[in-house]
Amino acid sequence: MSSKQRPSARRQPFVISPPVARVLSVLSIGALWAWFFLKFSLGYTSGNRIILVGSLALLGVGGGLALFASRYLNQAYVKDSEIDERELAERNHAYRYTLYYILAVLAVSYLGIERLAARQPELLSPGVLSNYITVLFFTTVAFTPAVLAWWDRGEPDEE
Amino acid sequence: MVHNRIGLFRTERGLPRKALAEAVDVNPQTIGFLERGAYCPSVELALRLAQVLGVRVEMLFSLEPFPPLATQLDPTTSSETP
Repeated sequence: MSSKQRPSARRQPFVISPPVARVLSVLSIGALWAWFFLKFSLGYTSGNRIILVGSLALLGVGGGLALFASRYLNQAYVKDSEIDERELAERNHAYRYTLYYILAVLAVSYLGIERLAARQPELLSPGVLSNYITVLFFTTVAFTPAVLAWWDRGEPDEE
Repeated sequence: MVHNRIGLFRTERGLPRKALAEAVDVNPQTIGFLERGAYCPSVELALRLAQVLGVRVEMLFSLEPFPPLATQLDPTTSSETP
C-alpha cells in the first residue's frame, strides 16, 4: 500500500466553522482588492490614509492566512489521492469557478487598462502593475478555498 | 437520482458515520452527503459500502424510491401517511 494519507484519516489542521470561513473569505478577498484600489487612488500618501491602506492589507493577508490554515485549503490543494471522490468533485467545481473569476478579473482589467491608458497613462506605473499582480495572485489562491467554504453545509463528522 | 438505504443499514449495524467512513476510506462528511442523497457515489464506492454493510448493492441503491419499511414488514400497511 502506498504512503498516501487516507481521506477518512486526514488531519484538519485548523478547524473553523463554515460561517466563519465564509466571512474570512469575503473579508480577505475584499480587503485585498480594497487595498489595491485605495492605494491606486491615493498614491503614496501618509498619515491616516496610509494607516487605512495598511490595515486593509493586514486584514486581507490575515484573513487569508486563517483561511489557508483551515481544511478548505487542504481540500483545495492536496494531492488527488488524499481526498475522496466527493471532495474531488467539489474541488473540480471550485476550480471551474476560480477560472471564471480569473477570466472576469482579466477581462475587466483589460478594459480598465485600455481606458486608463487613453486618459491618464501616467497612472499606469510598474508599482501599480506589481500591486495588481500581487492582488490577483493572492485572491486567486484564496478563491478556491473560499468557494469550498461557501459550499460547506457544516455536515457533522459524527452523528 | 439514485436512492439509497445507507442510513438504515448503518443504524441497524450501530455504526457511527466516522466508523463507516473509515471502513470505506472516505471523509466522514461524505457519508452524510450520501445518506441525504446529495451525492451519487461511484461504482467502486457503492460496492465498498455494500461490502462493509454486508448487503447486496441493489439492496443499498436503487433508481426507484425504496418502499417504506412499514410496508415491507407488513404488506397490508398502507404506504400513505394518515
